[in-house]
Amino acid sequence: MRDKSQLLSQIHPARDILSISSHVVHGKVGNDAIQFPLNTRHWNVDCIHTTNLSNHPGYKQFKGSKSSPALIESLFEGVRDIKLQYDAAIVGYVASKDILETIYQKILLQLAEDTIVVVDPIMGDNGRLYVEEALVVLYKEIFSDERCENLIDLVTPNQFEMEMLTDIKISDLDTLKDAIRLFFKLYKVKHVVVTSVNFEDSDGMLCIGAKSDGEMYTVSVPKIDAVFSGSGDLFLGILTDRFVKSNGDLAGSLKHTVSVVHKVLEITYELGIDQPPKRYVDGKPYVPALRLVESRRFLQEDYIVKCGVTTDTTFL
Amino acid sequence: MTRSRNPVIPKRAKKVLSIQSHVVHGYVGNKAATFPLQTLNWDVDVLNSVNFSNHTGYGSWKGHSCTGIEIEQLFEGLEGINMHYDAILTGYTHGASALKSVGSKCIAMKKNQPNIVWLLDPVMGDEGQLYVSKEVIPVYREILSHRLVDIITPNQFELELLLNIKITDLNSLRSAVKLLHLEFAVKYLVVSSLTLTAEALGLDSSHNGKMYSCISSMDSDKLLFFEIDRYDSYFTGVGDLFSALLLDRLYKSGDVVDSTNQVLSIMSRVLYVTREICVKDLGKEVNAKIGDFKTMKECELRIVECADLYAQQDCDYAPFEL
Repeated sequence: MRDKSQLLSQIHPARDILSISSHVVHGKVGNDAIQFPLNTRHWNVDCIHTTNLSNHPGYKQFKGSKSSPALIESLFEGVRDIKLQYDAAIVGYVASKDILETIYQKILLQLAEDTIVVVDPIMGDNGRLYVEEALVVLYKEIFSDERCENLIDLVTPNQFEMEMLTDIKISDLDTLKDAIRLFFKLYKVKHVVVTSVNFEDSDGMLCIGAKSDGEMYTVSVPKIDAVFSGSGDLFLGILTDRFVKSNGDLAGSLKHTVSVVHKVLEITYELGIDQPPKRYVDGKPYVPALRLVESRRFLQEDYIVKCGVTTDTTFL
Repeated sequence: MTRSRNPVIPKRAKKVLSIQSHVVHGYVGNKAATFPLQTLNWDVDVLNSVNFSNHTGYGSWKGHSCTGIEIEQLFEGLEGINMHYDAILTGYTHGASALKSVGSKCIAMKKNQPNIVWLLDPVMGDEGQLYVSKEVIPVYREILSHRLVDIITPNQFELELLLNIKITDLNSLRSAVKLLHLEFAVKYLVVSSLTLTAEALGLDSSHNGKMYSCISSMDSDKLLFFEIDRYDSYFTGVGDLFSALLLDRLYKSGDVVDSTNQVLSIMSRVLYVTREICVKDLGKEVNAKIGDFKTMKECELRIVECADLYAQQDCDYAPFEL
């Protein structure tokens, strides 16, 4: 029998994260897009599911249910009773105003002070709102709450969600900067990442990171000609990993995350696109499930992805 | 070791539907099975039979057990989008009604697609202690009577319950195994831990205190044994990790002896790592006690830390016949 003590030298210690998002049996969205990449990056991922669906609505039909606020609250009580502490917490898809209220009051406000909290205010995309209006209002209330100042470390809206949060239509770099300035004026959050910004006249997609002290980073990445479900959730997980492990190096975290997500989308496109595509969304082929398992080599934290990413640091 | 061809585009993952419990914290059921299978290129569709904060061994927990109807709806959703699987893994299901739903849906899937490999772990209890309601016993028998399950991984107690036979020695073990293959047409039986002692198996006193696994396949008369490492701490989720890894190996090779040997070897390493990290963190040896959350927490399997172990193929044990 081989000497097992050698095993210990190869073991990488794990950190603990609480991830509150949706669950689907089939598909890679919500917690199912977060768990595997973060496990791969040495995180124990404690998932509180806000839904229990057969698949996500992108397939046009699904069965299952949303979790009730009472269930979500009791699941957290259960882990609190056994005295768990988390290094980080993620809030992703929350499904309704009542659930967000519960998550904020009963979970986020109860976390240890040094837990890094990242919130993706999922509301919609490409000009379409897919949650109730009241949820948008509640996100605004929470982000402007005094108690939020030392609680939520990073918020990751997409372009549409940033528009909803600031009521500014983002059409070019100037309006984007206006929106970010207003965001920091209105909300008690120190970091924001606008995950996908498309301007009409540009070929690439921009990801923007900004800090309340005025620093702003722009990462540009080539567009892939398809629409994917779950890419925002994958982005959220990877960004949180980098942000925590780099002690808040937003520029580096952003560049790394954009590269990894881009690589996963490329692999998903290669493996997953039907020829000819079965469905189109906004005139582009639709790919309902990310190929996360097949992309695992590129999900490793030390994997350096070389793709067309440029970073540029400016001030607001 | 085979060297992979320059993989510009990676190999497509195999698809498995895994029906077990979910816990927010810790590693049992689907939480113990999912990540290891993913590292082995399985796309895991996770269907949760319960949704708990932690496993019940902590003494306190919160959450919800899915009803049979809820489980059926999720299956119907999967049917609606035409899901096809390469394998099904069914583990802990808490009650008769939920188990009936899981059973009837899996039977229908397997009838539609006979190529699916179905591993059923009839989780009911251990060492004489039943930890599900006794109404599930006839439901497991009914499911198995359709003769569609390919691999079964009961412990000795569960094997006794399924067949209503008491296993006390080598002979009664042999009869039970024979009956299982005959009645249920199960291709592979793997009992990861027997409660039979070395003495009951007819081994000499040099084997006292050892633990044994046994395997059998339908197309062979041989009953093979492994003498395995023993860890005295109380670990949960061990059987769930075992069945997940066994499904992977048997799906890929079909060689039950080698598959079981590899998986037992990995289990021993995972338990070693789990215990060592536990000792390091606490500064002393810990034996988890049911209901004591402080030690339960430390004894959770180190599923994430052991990420690199699941693909290992070396065998630490020598199978033998008796």
